Amino acid sequence: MVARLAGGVALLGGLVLLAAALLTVVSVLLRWLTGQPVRGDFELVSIGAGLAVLCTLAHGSATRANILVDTFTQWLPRRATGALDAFWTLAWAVVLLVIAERMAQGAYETWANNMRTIGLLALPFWWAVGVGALCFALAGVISLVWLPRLFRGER
Amino acid sequence: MAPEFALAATGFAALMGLIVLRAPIALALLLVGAAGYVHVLDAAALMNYLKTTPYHLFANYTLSIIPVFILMGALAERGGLARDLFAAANALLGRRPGGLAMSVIGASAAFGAVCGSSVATTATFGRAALPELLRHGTAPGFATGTIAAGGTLGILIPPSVILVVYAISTEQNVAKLFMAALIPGLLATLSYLAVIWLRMRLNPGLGPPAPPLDAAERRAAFRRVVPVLGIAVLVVGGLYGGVFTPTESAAVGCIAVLAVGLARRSLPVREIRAAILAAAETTAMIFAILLGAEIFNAFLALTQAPDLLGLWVSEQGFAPYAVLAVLLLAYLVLGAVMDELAMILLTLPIFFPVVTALDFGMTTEETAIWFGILVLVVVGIGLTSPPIGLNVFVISAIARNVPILDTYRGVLPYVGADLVRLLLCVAFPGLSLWLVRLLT
Amino acid sequence: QEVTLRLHHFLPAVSNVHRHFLQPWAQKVQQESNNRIRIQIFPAMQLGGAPPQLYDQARDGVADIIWTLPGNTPGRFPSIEVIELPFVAHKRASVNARVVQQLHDEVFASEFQDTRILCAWAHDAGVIHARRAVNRMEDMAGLKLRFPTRQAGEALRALGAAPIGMPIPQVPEALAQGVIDGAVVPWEVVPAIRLHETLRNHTQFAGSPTFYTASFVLAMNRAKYDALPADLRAVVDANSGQAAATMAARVWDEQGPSVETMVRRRPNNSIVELDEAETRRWATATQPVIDAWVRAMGERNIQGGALLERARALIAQYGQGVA
Ligand code: NA
Ligand code: NA
Repeated sequence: MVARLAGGVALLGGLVLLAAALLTVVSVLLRWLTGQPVRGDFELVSIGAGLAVLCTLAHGSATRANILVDTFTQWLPRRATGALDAFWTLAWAVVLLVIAERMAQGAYETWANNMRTIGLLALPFWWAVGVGALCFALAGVISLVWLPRLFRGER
Repeated sequence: MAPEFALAATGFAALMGLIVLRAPIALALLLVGAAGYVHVLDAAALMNYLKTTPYHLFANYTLSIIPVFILMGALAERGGLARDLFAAANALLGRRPGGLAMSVIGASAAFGAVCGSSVATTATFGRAALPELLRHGTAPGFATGTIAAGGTLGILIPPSVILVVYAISTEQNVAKLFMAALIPGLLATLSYLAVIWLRMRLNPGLGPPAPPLDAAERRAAFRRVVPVLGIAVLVVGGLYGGVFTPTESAAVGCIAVLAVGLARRSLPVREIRAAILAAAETTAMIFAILLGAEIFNAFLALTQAPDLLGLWVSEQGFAPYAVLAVLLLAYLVLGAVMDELAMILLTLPIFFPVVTALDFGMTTEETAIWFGILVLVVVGIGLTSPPIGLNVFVISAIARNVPILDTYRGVLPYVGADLVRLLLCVAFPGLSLWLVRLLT
Repeated sequence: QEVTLRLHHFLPAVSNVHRHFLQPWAQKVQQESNNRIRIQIFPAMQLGGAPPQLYDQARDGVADIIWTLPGNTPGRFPSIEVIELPFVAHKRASVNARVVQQLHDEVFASEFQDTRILCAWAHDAGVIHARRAVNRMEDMAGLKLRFPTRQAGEALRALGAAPIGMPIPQVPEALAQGVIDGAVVPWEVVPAIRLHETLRNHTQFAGSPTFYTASFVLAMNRAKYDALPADLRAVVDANSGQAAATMAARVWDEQGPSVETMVRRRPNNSIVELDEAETRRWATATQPVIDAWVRAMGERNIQGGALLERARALIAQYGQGVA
């Protein structure tokens, strides 16, 4: 269930990324035709791509898309490597949840300090930091969901 | 040893320890970086650092090129563009001995112009070409080894995620690095073709030619490949011609691939979904490592070891090429046992100041670009060399009944060609810099 | 008791500001404290993060001292923007620095109260560097120019240009790829980004007030400052305020003219100085930017009009006789 939610979020992120790419193309065309790019394209693409990347994190946790080196632990019994993997997954979940809490605080301060993007639009971006906090939190929860399966030796 | 170096060395040792114990690389970087950060400053500083750093790292205009290139590659694969490339290469090269293997190399090189990742290129041809090769009797290890080597063309031919990361961590111009990579990339393609030709001379049984095509089939194959070649020309030409910035070229390429797929009806919603999800997995993996490296490198900077080492090396009066040789050797060793992205993110803060402090008889910028290409070549070698060659892992995951040792054996001659190319690129910086000087 | 302070900023170690202000300033503090204060400088965002985060890094103690542009965090420090409005600033950094530091002490210190501002200043006259010649206002139409602060961006818009905001380090790449036709920056930073090689036409303005300037602050973590023993705090104080602002301004006033001379000697570069009548046309065209700013300040309960008047009075006072 949570994994499907992560897939949905990743799809949403992909659409945001495509929208940012489309905006860039429109801006290039406009610059070529009229000499004026889309107002604030730089800021919009930065935020859009940032959101898209944040949206992939939970899906990455759900598919366990991380690079690890198993060359040195291949001789261990399956249960032992399973326990190691479970331990690191727990650590990863804790890290993700800590970052989520920190980003929530960051979102609040970005809002309280009235922080805006550099550029003509001067967009407030506290909400994007907040979305990031949610994405990290979801990724952390999904890693926790993996724990019991890893202990049972599933991969 | 100065305390700065002791601290940095402890950090590296701890990092290696965690990696040996199966910690995911992104997590190992984060944990050791965070611990070091707290050791030099304090926990409160780390907690404050984490408030907005991940957001600003991810919402960085220059980095936005990476997810877009990855999505472009995924859409190109799902839209059948890789299969079209393979078919066209086959129509061109297939009839000679080893023709199918040569077609993989040719198609991988062309695919490299619309895809920035070697893992994605390997996976793509693992699905699009491997069944074809095996069905027509190519030796399994030769087939998988060729696809793994061809996969490195995904980064050796620009655009290249590794070069984007290099450009960002060393503050160099991405477009110039892409220009510098072109001739060495083409050289890699030719050398891989030469490896196949040579192996066919020695053992023709390894790779029988493809079944012959009639003229109409050949024409059809060439016709279908026009759009993807057009996109490659648009992306690379627009970038080199100064029409687009690198970020813009990625966006234009991504939208063009999508448009071609939609127009041909080869990209139904189901395939677009699959492409986005596949791209999301790779993107999450890369950015997790980028975040870990950001924190680890902040810790490294706090120790001041990188600057001091650069200063120390430049004061010793070592011969520049001797230092370069040591660094490249270190990369070959590290590349054999480590993830390549993490490798360059970790080493550049230390190696880059050292290299740019040396006098190779060119400007600092040229030295930086040239070194970037050398790093790219060694990364390519690392991706295919045992015990940890990511491309070999990827193809082994697809070809489950080909023993991984056979794949390593199949890839070895290509690694030999890589080493020769590395020497050539070191000896003749012009291979990397000529096009840059011409176009800027 | 010894104290180590980490100073974090965004320009590379080869930049004028790093070599001619931050390093000498740090050395001065170190010497006057008999080496009891050590200042480690981390250039080029080495400690991580992006330039807009620098101020918060000082506030939160991620770094002890930071150098930043309030323009990196638009809207957060509204009052200091008064000096960045079109045709308000003096052409010399020494004057602008005194004005900004004094306005900070008198008027808007409260906007920066979550750090200890060691000094606040602004650079000298900004210059338009472009691919094609800008001899009159009409030449600005459609010109894609990189702008440094939001107010300068609005001014460029009002003049008909197509302004694009980006940090300084991205300018050479954007120029090479035709994303921009030029940039507005002071002379001081021209060699660092090799603008004199890529752009041949340079347009500056007669006298003062000049087209624009950008403001800067050197900010210190408050707790770290408060925790200094009294004698060390006195050393930092002696290297703060007007004394430090003046020292900073010297980088622009000394490097600027020598860069200008160097560019003037190059055979293919041309420097145009707009006369007073033409400059007045530009000032008139950009007046709406000032009006809009005063209105926006009003919405935030800041007396923009009074602040502007005070700024202009101080510039007139300190600028008297400064050519
Ligand atoms: Na590529
Ligand atoms: Na390897």
